[in-house]
Amino acid sequence: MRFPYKPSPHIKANVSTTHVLHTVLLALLFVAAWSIVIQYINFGADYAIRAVFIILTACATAFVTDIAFYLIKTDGVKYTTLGERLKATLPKAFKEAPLVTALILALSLPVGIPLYAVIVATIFAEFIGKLIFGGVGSNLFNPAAVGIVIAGLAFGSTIVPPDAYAGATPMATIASHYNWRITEAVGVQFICNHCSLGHIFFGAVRGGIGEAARPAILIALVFLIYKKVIDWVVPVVFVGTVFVATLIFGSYLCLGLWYPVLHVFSGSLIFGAVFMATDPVTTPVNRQGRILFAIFLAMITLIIRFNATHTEAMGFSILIMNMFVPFIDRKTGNITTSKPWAKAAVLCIAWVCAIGLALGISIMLG
Amino acid sequence: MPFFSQRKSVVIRNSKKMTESQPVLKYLKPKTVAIPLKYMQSEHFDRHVDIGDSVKIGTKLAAGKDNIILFSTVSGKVTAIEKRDHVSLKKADHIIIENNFLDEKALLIAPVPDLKTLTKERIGAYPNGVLGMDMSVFTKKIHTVLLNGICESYITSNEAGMLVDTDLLFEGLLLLMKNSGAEKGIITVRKNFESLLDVLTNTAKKYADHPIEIKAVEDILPMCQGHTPLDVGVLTVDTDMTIAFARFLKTGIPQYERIVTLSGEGFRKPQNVQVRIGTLLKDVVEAIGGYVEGLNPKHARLVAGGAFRGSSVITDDLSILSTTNAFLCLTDIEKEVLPCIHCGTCIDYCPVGIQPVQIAAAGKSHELLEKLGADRCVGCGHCSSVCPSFIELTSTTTKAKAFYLSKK
Ligand code: SF4
Ligand code: SF4
Repeated sequence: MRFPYKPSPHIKANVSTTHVLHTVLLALLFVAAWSIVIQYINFGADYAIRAVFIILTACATAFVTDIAFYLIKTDGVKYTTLGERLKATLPKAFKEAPLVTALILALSLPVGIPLYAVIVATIFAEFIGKLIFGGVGSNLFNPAAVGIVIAGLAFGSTIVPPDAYAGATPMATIASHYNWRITEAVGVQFICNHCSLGHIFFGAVRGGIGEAARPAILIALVFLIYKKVIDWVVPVVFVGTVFVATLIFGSYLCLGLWYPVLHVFSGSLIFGAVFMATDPVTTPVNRQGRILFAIFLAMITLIIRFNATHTEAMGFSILIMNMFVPFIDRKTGNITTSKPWAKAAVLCIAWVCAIGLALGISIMLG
Repeated sequence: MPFFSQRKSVVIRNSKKMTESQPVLKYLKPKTVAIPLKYMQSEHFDRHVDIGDSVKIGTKLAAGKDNIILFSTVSGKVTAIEKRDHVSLKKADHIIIENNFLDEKALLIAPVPDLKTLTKERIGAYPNGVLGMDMSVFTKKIHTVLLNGICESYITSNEAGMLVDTDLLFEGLLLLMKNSGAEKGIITVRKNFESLLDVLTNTAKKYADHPIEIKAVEDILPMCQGHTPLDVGVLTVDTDMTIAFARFLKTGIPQYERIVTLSGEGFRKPQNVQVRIGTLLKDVVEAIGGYVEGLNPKHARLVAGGAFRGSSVITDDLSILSTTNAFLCLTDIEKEVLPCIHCGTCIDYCPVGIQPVQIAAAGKSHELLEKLGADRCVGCGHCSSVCPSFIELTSTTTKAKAFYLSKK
């Protein structure tokens, strides 16, 4: 009997990339469900329905974008009927993981955003963020982050604020009025008037749909780490760095321990740490690189938070760090500098520098 | 530091269960055997026999460089010399011998019934090729001889051999220790094969006055990471080789039989078979009941050796060599290749700590390959075997290594 020749090894992994994406999708669905319930409990059925619509719109748009893209880009294959063409397109569209991108994006958007803005942001996320680079795996930027930034820049003013707060969400208040440089009195007043830290954690504060579901995000984090889908060091180092840096900044402003805690649990920081900073495709490939990524991601997030009027720091900082990923990969792949103590030293220096820079720039500009 | 390079080990999935408890089938009366005029890398041999010559077990058929000698493994008549498929995928000349089933034997060296009487000088006086291993040059001081009883995935032929020839295993180990001046001997076997562990522990009691230790270890690959055993004064030897070596000195006839594992989902009854070296694989496959019904060879692989490092062969019309410990017929492994998602799994499993994904992306950039340490790849196959996108990384990294070295 004759057999084909195949290169060794003759054994393949029993988990596949598709499987990994499905696991992430499961975690996202859980967070989405929790968020909708939170919206309902805290703000009523109107908001829950809005949230559902935003999520569904994003998912449908992402899917349709993928299908449209592959209907046009057939790689030279000729199809006689449209049905045939559509049939060949569906699996390709599924492979692009449109739902993962759409869910991350939708969960980062505020509930007051108009649906057409969701559609535009999703098309940008899928098309500019993913498809023109050659599809999932080849994209340089995190597609969801692309969508978030587009939504913020283009439609920031169209967002209908929730009725209880004229003008802005509480985070936006702290961010745009004070650039996070609040005094003890303002902070305490803010916390007393609007919410407590516990409220913020459990999502009684209006912000992105998904970011309100912090307990769910943490559960999803544990689940994804347990399933070995994401590397735990990224969220831990990222959040840790933010905490330490804001702790120092807080003592500079003579504020208490609540200040770094507020930082960590506000905005989409946790959501981004779990679902965006851990996206394997757009983050470095080895652990040293990932830690560097997390450290500098924290730095950029803080610089944006402290100095820009924009509420949404996560999307921007993720995009900025994405640009450095090939560089980080190249530097950390060099075996001549791969002694563990050298790696540890590099990371420590980077950590101190990042915190120093974040605070230095903020204090200087402030 | 495990924190940076997680250096995970590949757990050999339960692939050994298929054959470990099956009795060894004896297939010792092949009608013909085909002995290739090729041994490992050597292809230049002076033939000592011609068509029509009568031979016995142990008759010298051909001699090559470095004292490599090829022997007959049956008694009978040379009927042909022809080009045939070889495990190495290149065709090679084979000497075809028809068996007369008399099993007459020709001694190559004087037998030493009691191996304890052999001195270091006498072992050293045997030519290397005869022993099948180089006994003279050890650059470092050897303090331990380690018989590695952990084989690759699926393969249990070495364990079957240890069960049958336990005494020869110990005697061989003592000889190796004597010859290399090692103070200690270790035999490693996998933890989850208790019957073998029991047999070895019991036999070790007979040799209680010698410093021999039986170590039960996890069934994982690789066993050591970062340095070669010889660097740290450990001589690692294959158990099959040790047994063959002891038997040869004892009987005066070189190894003419071996146990080979036929395993994998593609065989109807996977098991270990004791065969004459040079027996045709297709005959043995027939003897164990053939392939599973409806096997489509286009979607299967036939592999000489283990699933990680074995090489795929294109036909079963091959002679079984002294160096092939297994043939696997594997099905259901072809999977559609997906795009790389930069997950870094391949990096975590590379035993030498290089980054397969980056080497694959480096293309033909010599400078990059140098930085990435492409020349360190040992071709172990771990990276391909764990990639969730089923990318053939090992072929890429071994090619990159060859490219890098060719341009050095
Ligand atoms: S084949 Fe080479 S690159 Fe792949 S894991 Fe083994 S040593 Fe590393
Ligand atoms: S294991 Fe496969 S998918 Fe993951 S980084 Fe390596 S090559 Fe890419």
